[in-house]
Amino acid sequence: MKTFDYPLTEGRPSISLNHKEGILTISGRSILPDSDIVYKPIMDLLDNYFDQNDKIVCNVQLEYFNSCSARSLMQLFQMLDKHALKKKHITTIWHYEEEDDDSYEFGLDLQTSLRHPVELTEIQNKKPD
Amino acid sequence: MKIRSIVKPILILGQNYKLDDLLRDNELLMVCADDFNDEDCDRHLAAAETEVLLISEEKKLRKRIFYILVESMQNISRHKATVHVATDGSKPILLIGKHERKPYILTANPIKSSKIDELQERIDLINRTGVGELRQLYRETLNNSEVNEVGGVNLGLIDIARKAGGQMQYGFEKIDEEHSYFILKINIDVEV
Repeated sequence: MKTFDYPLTEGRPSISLNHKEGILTISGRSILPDSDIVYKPIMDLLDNYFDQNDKIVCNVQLEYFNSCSARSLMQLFQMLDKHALKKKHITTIWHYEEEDDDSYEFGLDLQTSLRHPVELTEIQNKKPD
Repeated sequence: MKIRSIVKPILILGQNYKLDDLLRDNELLMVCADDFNDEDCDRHLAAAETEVLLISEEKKLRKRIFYILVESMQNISRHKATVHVATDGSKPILLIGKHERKPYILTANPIKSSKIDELQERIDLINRTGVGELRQLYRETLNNSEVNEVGGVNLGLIDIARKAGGQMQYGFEKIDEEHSYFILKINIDVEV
């Protein structure tokens, strides 16, 4: 199976899928004007991934995500929900920065609207020495 | 807000008259006047992040302003209409300024006049919605959002309002029979 590893570039998040460990990682910034360019291919790949795998942990740690990316992320999670209904084991871990209320609330909204478990993890800001 | 009094000087600034002096006098921190294609937006965001956003020591506020900049630039890019007029008055503009120590972001771009009613309705709805209720509106729109004809979702303006925490002022100015300037001023509440 093809390994998916999108490098981090301007406005585009880093996305990698570790087949061996069953971990999808999305990190960095996601502020592209057309986020489907990034998220559509990973959704297609995940559909194939679940033909041969039963579980995935989706680790999301985004410093910024624009409204277009929010829509794409929601579509991605809703797609994962469909696989959860087919008895696949899916967990999303949503990392949000301390004091980033909007990211925290987005994580809370995921918890209430999705069927699969969503864990919220706070990232502490580094204090100056 | 007198639209002309803000936009017209900025159009003059776009012609490179002593830009630095005028920016300082007017508490304008950054002015961008171009087509806002993807490369332009990347360049402006990088400049804003390394220079302008340092006006605040508070990371939370810097982050909110950055978000609003991203959405504002992408709104311009999606909705701008190309107008061929003799002057360069049709160029989209974005500026970051401060008024009475409160930051704001102002955008001005040509749109098709046929979009005025829809835009007006949308902004009025968002302005009428309280900060607490905006989250609910955001959530509903996120779950039901449909891509509109130019690839954007209504979510962008709602998100701007949530991050800004202040009212949005807007105005339209006729360019020709089919096009108008759309001016949007986003007031950022630093206390939120």
